[in-house]
Amino acid sequence: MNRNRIRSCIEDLGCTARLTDGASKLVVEFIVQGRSVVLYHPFPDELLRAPQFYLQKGHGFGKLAHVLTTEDSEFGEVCIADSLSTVVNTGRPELAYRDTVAKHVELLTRLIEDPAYNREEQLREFDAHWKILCSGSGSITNELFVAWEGNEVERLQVRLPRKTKSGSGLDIRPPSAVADTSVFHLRPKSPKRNKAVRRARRIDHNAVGMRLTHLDPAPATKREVVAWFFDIADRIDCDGRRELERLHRGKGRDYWVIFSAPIPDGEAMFAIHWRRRSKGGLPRSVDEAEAGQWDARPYRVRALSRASLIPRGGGSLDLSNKSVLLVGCGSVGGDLAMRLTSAGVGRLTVSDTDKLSEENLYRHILSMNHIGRQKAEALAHDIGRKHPWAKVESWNRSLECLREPAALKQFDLIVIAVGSPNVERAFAEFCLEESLSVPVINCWLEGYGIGGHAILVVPGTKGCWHCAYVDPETLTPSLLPNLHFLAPGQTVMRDQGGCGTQFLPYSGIAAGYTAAMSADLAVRFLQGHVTTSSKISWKGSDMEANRQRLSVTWRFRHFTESLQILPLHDENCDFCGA
Amino acid sequence: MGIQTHFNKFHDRIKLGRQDSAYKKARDRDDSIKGAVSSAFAAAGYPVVNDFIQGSFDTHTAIVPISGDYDIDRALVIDSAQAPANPVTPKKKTLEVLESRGFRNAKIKKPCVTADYASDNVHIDFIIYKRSPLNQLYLAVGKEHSDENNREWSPADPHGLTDWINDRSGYPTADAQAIQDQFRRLVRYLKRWRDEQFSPTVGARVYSIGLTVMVKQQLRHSFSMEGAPQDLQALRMTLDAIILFGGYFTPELAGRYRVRVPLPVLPWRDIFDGSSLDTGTQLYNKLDYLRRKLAEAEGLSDEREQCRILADLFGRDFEVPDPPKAGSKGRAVYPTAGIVSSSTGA
Ligand SMILES: [Zn+2]
Ligand SMILES: [Zn+2]
Repeated sequence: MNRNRIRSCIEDLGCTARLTDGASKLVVEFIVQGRSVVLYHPFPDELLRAPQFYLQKGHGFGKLAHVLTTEDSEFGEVCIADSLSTVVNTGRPELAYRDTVAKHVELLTRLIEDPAYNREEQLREFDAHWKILCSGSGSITNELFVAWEGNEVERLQVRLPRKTKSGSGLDIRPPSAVADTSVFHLRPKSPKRNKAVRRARRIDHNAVGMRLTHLDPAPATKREVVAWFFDIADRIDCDGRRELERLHRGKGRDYWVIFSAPIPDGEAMFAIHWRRRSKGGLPRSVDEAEAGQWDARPYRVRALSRASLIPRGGGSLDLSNKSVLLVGCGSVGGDLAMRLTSAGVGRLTVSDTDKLSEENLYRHILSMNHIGRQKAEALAHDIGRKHPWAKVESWNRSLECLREPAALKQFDLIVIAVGSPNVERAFAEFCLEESLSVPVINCWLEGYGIGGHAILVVPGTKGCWHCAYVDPETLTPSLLPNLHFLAPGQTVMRDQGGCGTQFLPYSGIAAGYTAAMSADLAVRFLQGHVTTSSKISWKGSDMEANRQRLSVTWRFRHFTESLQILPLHDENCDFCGA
Repeated sequence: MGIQTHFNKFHDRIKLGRQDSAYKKARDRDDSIKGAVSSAFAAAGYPVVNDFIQGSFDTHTAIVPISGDYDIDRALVIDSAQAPANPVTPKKKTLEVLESRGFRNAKIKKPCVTADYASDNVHIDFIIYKRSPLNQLYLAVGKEHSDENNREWSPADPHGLTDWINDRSGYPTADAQAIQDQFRRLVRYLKRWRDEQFSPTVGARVYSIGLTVMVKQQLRHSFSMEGAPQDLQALRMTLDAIILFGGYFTPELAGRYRVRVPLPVLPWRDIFDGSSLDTGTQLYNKLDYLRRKLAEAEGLSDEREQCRILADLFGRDFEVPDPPKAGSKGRAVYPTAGIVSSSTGA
């Protein structure tokens, strides 16, 4: 990097720029409202992200958004954009510097000249500013996991972490704490250990979550937190006030007040932990707090909230009232179940009569410690731990035993992943005979990684189950789906030890593709984006099939619509009629 | 049921194979007369060294004639060393035999000797070739009284033509059979359409081989994603190509057309050589009408409506189905296999 070229390039912007400390730092200066703004930049060894500039404190412009200052530093870190979303021209560093400085000038000028904008931006990044206040000793941040939706005033319990050196998952290490309303499965697996953990953890009951309708920018220093707290406490409405009053009359040493508030484009959640050595009620004013020697410690809140975590994970909240029955918890079904709840499906019933065996291990989503357990039950258990707001129920029933309209009518969708053509056919015929109104997805894969398929039948729309079973040559009903990629009449199953030990060779990857694709179809249907009977396939490679001397179908050779949702209707279907 | 099912039924009705019984009788008649002609040739000093049936059986494009008259193109090959210099000589010998065996209307035409066998509705064309030591065939061309300028042993390649029609090397290997089958069906549809839509005189001049060559050259195959044939679309698209891009029809004065379709093999002559403007014009207009009506049928969703249009074009063998019975919903019947091995899992 030619630092002089960088310097002169920045001067072209109308700023003054100079190199200091043996040209290891760059100082840029420009004027806003007649006062000078000074930015520092220590040159990095390598330019891996946009150059970082620091604003010198004492500039007299007050607190500025996008300038993160800690109390012990004389510089504030300026953030112009998310480093993840900026690509730097490292081949022409002088241009990278010029553009970066230009952005700083633009941003800081606007923040200084437009106080309303500055305030809004401070609110927008409330969490970043609050986080700085929460820094404890060393690199540790005071954090609180909160399982609270942030809407209603709610009494919470705060479980303090064990004083051990490490924990896993939500067994959080100090100084983090957990506030929960017990929707969360925070208990460890064995009840024995659970007891030990309970004993080791102190549980504080003097905790309340309350909603603010309006928020001020975060205080600049920890010292200001007390006054800031009473400022916002004044604006709390009646329900919150009642709860606060309870804390004022409390007899504890620790009080936790957790707030949620709207900020531009989002929600903020943060907490303040009040504590002192002797027991007493939560102070009512700055004076009382000082007189009582109360310590108000800001805590960063990591919200375990349904409304924020489901969308954050790419799930959809409007699926939370949808109810899906998944029959078949094999490699495809197991993966599919997890993906459905991951997408936000709120109620899932999984059904299978099979137990997990060691043979399933390598392509099944379930882990070894479930071997011997009912697949459905184990799956419900695991999903509950992974997607805590999903209500998962398990049934120990096969598809043939589920031919019962009363049991099925409650579902918005039935997904069948049993890979058993005869039973699926019987079920499809049952649905037609009973005029069952619940839509059904059948999904399956073919051997040797050649592909997988799913069909969605929405009763009352064009296209029925039989549309997938029209022989393309004879145009008459066929026993095999016309979606297939391997030509009919070939032996695909592989034999391992004689009769009854046949298995279909396919990989966990093929199962995963099929599951993801089918889950996508299910989700699009549940969201109302797909409304008619449809089909979807993924096409893999025919390399392995070729090696096995298996021939492929016309559809395989000409298929270019992998993962596209296509109409299921086949004009040669006798059932759909003309 | 879709429209393809009706095309399939239609095709089953019109297709004619070598083994079909209706044709068998004609073949028996042909066999006996062939024997008689061969003996006469041998006695005359030019024995038959090879014989074959020329035409649409080897290309699987033969159709059941609506007139009930079965056509056989009987080729007889003699050795060039023994062949008379005058190509009309063996044709006259053939005519003699035919007349003596009770054939009606036997007569020598330019490329062949033709005759109807009265009682059996059999029409046989005898085509005489001589074969050179290099296996090159020469067709005996000339009428009974043609002078030297109008008769010749003309180089020909009947096997080459069959091979050309049956050639599928231009199609993707795995799909070649399906595409060639569709080609054959399209030719049969067009031949039946010709028999239905033209007067016998004009129809006789709309040569099957001419239609076959045009379809082969302009074929636009059509299949569903699953590989189910879509003959209606394929025929319409192929006709579009024949009319719009084929270059077979040259406009003449007053909205009239000349049709030219060169043979794709030796002797490369125009199949429609010497045909009238009237034939060209009628063929053009009727093909154009056909493709428009096919396009119309394609746009319809009602199957019976579609069939009605197609029956108007292809005749009564294209059946218009009865209206569907209300509420007829039952179990699917799987007409083919009892058990098939499956390749599915989950
Ligand atoms: Zn910022
Ligand atoms: Zn159907």
